[in-house]
Amino acid sequence: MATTSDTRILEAWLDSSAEVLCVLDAQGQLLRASAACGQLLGHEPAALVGQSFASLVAPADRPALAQAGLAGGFTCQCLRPDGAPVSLAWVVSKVAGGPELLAVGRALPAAPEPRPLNHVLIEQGFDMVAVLDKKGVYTYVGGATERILGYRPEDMLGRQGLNFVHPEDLPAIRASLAALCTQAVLTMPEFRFRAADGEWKWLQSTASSQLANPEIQAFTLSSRDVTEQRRKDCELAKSEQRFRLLFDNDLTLTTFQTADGRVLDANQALLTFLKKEKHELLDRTSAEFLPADVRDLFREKHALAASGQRVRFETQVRLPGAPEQTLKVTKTPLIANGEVVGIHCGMQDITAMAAAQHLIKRQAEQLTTILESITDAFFSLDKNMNFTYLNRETERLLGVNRAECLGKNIWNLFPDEVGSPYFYNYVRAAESGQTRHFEAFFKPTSSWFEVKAFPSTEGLSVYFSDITDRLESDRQIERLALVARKTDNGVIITDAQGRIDWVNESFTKHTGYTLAEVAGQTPGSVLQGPETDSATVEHIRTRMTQRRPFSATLLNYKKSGKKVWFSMDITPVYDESGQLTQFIALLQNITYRKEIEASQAKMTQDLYRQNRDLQQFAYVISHNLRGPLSNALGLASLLGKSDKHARHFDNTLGLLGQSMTQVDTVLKDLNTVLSIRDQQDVQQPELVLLADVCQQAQHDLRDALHQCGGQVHLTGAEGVRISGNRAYLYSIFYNLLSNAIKYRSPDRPLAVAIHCASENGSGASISFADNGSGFDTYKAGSEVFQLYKRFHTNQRGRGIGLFLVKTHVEAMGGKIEVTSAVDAGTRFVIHLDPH
Amino acid sequence: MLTYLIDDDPISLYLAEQVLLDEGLVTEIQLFGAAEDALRCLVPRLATALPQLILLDLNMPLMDGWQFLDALAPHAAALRRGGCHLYILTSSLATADVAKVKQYELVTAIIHKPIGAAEVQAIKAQLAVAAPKPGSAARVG
Repeated sequence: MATTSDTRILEAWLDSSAEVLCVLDAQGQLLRASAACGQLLGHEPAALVGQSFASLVAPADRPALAQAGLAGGFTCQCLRPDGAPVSLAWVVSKVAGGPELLAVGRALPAAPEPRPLNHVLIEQGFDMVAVLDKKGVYTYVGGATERILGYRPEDMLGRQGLNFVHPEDLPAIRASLAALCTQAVLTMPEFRFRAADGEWKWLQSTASSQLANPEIQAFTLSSRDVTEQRRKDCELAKSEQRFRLLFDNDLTLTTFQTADGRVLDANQALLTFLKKEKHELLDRTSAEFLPADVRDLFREKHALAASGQRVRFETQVRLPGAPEQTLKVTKTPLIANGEVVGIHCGMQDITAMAAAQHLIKRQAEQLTTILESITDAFFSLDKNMNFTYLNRETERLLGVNRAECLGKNIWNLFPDEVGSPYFYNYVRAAESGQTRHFEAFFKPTSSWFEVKAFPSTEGLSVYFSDITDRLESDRQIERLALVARKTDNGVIITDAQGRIDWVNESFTKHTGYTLAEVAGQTPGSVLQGPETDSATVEHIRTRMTQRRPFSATLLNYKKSGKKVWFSMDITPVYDESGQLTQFIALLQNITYRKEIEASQAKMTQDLYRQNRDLQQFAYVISHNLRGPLSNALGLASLLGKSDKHARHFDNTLGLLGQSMTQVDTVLKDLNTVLSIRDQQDVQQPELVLLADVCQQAQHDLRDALHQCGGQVHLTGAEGVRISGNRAYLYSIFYNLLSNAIKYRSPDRPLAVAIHCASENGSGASISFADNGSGFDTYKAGSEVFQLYKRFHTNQRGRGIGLFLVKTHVEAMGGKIEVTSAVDAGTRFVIHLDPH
Repeated sequence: MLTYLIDDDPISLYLAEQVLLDEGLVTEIQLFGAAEDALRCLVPRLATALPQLILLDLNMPLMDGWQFLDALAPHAAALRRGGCHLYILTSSLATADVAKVKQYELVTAIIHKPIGAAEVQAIKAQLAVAAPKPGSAARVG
């Protein structure tokens, strides 16, 4: 808008201009005229207001003017009030932004003089002005030509105008020029014109034929550059096409509707979705195509959008013959000049997305359920060590409330744990990205936790469980294991088949076997030996098949071969299903106790023997010693009463002497017996050749043998040596042979068969058989070998021979047995074993 | 009066015989060196020629005094009826033997060797008290 000052200046400029400046309305009536009107045309400018522009023109030019219209530039003759003609060149242009026209008139000189003025006028205009001769060759170029096309006038003058025109546009231009022959002025179709820089410019031209004007005889061409406008038009068209494409090809189900719901347009996606043709939809409400159950919803939302609001909603739609689909609907009002002129409605099929979201939601719920249900405590921390989740077990073990922890920093909640193993490990896990696995004590609840911390992009996931009980039972097991290792009792653990899995240190101590030596073998195969009691072994084997613990005592052998007695407690171990898995055997070394027992047994046996010997001794005293002694007393008493010359005196005296000799003999016998006893433990055994001592006994009894014609047959004695006492062995042979002679059968000559045989290396057996009178083994019973027991009445014998034989045999650790039959013979069997 | 002396020891037999004869208690003495011999002699004569007195040794080979007593047990009634008195004559001082003797009703008493006049007189007194007809024995002898 011009200021007052601007208006004033313009007014001054208007009035001072040498050109006739007229403002016309659309009908060509003058609204204003400049001062030059008066000077050039002789009309009072104010008097011209309201008059037609044509009234200024000479009547001869009026038809041409009327035909061409008030546009562009033209030349015409005007009449002064005095009737003098004035030639003026006019340029009429529209006033921008209004219907008014501005006509600028410049007086043309009658002669060439007025040209410069004309030229200036043209140069000042907005248009390009050109004059071409009737052949179409430029004779004048001016106006904005150089500014717009970049050509200087000399570049174009003398050149054929059509040469600059785009070949495609030439036919139309030629046709226009041809039309100029019949009409003075015409507007040519827009065409392309080559500019100096080679670009094609779109021009809009008005051509005026001045061929009839003798002064000009040419075409005048007034052109303006419409390239920019063409470009804009083109872009607008393109843009519209683009939007159309977008609309048509959008996968969103789209309609454009009026505010009251009528469909103005629908895209292909929607048509496909509804299985309709476009014409079926147009001018109808969208609700008509939707299932009945959602129509109200759509109507309501549409009304909301019609009130100017953007509306979004989701709904399930089930079209006939299709599965239920979830649609996300957006209704956007189109507002022009504050009024809703239409509504854009877009619907997206989000069935798959909704299903996926539903799935994700369900999975999240599942995850939560899982985390809640796992027996381990679980919590998660974000990068700042704030709790993002904790399950129920965590609440329980840490003694916290979930709601109070979420979003809080762990070290703020547990300030005492800063610097603890938890702190160290969590920080390390977060920093290194490595999983941390550790056990640590948690003071607030006095518990041990086993913790696994997994770092992730979100922070830290921590699993932990209370292992206090487990640690306690581990310690218990360790203590038990310590006991098993360190106890003085041997411990064997076997598998179900009885093969050794483990033994303790004491086992090795007591047996000399290490675990490596016995693993996989049965204890029996390792420990048992020749003197192990097979009945006990069988008992153990039987008991192992039963389900109960049992005990047994067994002689075993060390690795060194030494005997060892174990008292064993054997316990079968069963698993939860009742399957036998192991045996545990506790071995107590009772060798020492066994030795004491053995020595006690020996002592008891010795005492028994001593006692028996004492009894026998008392018997000997009362019968065999007191017998002859009482005889002597009686005889002495008899002698006292008798006359020494009496017939039986000498006989009695002789018997007295005999009795005293008997007493002496018994005392000597007792001495012999006692000396054997005394020497029994003192005598060192020697190796004696049996044949030697046997032959010596034969030699010493050779006279008696010879008298009775007895024969001794010795076999098997060759090389048989026995570890024992030579004197005893001699006594054994001597007494047996002496007995055989003494108790021989009167019916047949004596024959003695002696057979010796080695037994178990250093031992030997001697069989001594005769064919003598024999005795009744049944009647004699155990008294055969007793001192002063005799079984024959017809032979003199003291009853000490067999007693001595037995005593000698037993002194060398041997045994003697006898079998006999009356009048058939007697057989003694002696087993000698130095052990 | 018939008397059996049973002892494996000949000296002991001789001594007992001399003492009995000296004291005039018996008129006829039979000597046995083995109990079996005495038993073999006695059993067929239980009714006809029963001895009034038997002196029995305990310690003998083969059949000892105890076995002899056991063998006589079935004939205890006949022996009592016949007025036979049996004395154990032993060198044993063992109390066990004395105690065991008391178990045998057949045994009148135990006499420890050596037998002397005092012992014979004691036997005589006992026989006189027990015998209903002292004369008959002499007649039999």
